[in-house]
Amino acid sequence: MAAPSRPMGPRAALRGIGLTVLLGLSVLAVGAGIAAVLVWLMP
Amino acid sequence: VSVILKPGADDVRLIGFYLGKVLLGLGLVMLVPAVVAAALGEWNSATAFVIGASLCVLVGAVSEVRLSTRRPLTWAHGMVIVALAWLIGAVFAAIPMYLTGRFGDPLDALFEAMSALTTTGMSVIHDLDHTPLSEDLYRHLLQFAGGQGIVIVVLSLFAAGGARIATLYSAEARDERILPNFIRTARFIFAVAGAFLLVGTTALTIALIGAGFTPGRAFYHAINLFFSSFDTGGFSPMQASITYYHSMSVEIIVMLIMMAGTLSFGLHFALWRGDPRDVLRHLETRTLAVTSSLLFIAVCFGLLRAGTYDSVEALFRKGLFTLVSAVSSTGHQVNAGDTYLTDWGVLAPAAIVGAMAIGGMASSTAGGIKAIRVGIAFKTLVHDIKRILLPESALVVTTYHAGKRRILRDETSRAATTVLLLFVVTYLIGAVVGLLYGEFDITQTLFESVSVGSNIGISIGVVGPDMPRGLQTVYLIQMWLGRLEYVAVFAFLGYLFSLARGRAKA
Repeated sequence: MAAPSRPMGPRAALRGIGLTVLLGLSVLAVGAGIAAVLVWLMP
Repeated sequence: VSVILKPGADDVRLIGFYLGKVLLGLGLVMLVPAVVAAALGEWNSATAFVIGASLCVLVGAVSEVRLSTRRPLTWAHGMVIVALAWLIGAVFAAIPMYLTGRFGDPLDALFEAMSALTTTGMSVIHDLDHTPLSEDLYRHLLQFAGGQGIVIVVLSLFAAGGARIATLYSAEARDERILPNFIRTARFIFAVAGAFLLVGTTALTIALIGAGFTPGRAFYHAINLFFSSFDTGGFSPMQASITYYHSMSVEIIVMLIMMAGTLSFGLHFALWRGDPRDVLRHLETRTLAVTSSLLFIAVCFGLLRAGTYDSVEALFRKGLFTLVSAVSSTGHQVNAGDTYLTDWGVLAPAAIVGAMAIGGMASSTAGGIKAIRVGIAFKTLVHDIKRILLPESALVVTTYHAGKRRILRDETSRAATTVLLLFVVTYLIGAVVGLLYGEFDITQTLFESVSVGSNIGISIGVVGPDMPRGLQTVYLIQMWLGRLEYVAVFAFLGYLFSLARGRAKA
């Protein structure tokens, strides 16, 4: 696993933040999904 | 038979020299609110910060001149320096707090400073909503410095050469080597914090303007909220914490920042490198995914059964937010503390206690037992069961993914389960001490003890300006132990023992 030549450059930062936000949003989506299913199961 | 050697004057000198550097750094941190206070005409606060900074710089400068040494650091030195730096740092950080007059006594100021530096976020300040802006900024800045690891922050600026500070980096419970060189690792940690600071503060400013704040006020709240969310501290400019903003956009952005804060720097590096697969197959990510999903189901189930909330939006904004705040060890709240006791039933607060106990990822700014230890403890259990069930001649090898595929070794299992056990024992001790006062029941004392011991900061109402002094002292020690994950503190105690009972060097 070779590290890129500039792991701290602006492009790497944008990519890193973008992927982190995407990961966070998917966690929130899963959370909302769990809540929706449980509200549906236990009205 | 190994003989414990008594540390000599040279060792004490070396420790003092590095502690002085940490105080110099703390003095520089205090200059930021001092300048802000002067610019805003908050002269009482400015005076307190100038006095605090002067004391730090004075002691730091004296140690720089009188204790200067080029001796290399050993592991024992590193551990002692870090354990002491967090204690002495909290004492010096408390000086301007006490001088502002916002705290009932020096213990309250010390508690607030320790809570800030260890990114716990429990507060005993009087009248937070009317605190001068510079004083509030100082509390949040301390969380930022503490979350990043104040010793590594300071020494990567002041100390020459990475190898000498490697030991300090590990002692501060940040043991993941992301890059081969520690200075480069520290730089990467700064780069991540800096990039998120820019993006997070901008997003929060926009959301707060949308919520009706003026641009200046929005920026001020945004930067403080960023510090306390990314460094999983949990202080807030307002007593009502995140409830104050009544904005779903703010809540979502804060949740995203808290999650970014709890991601280990190693995984940030994988994402910056464009390798999300590394994150998805990491034992720590998988442990957090499984435990958090189960705990969130328990939170929702508990809240629905108790009739607290009945809509998806309420479960998302109250239940999920509180869970993310607990897992990330931040401590931002979207409820008044006593709501957990009066409205949340039994199951939902119990699930939050579980989430607080586990905490976030190792080598992030999060606190708690850490998901990697829980994952390794689980793998160890499975490994032992396999060993029992399979024929004696079978070779049982258990592997896990953490940066690369690793074989589960006995010493890894032992280290993880020992620290896990120490956390659990500390939670229980804090809970029992709370019970001794007769003012609180076990739900309250266990909730609060886990919250301080894991450096979370969600309060059920035990911590406050009028709390019992003995319990406050126990909580203070729990915050210190939890932040350093025990090892450095025990090494420090062992060092004290060797000072008293060790054999003099030949």
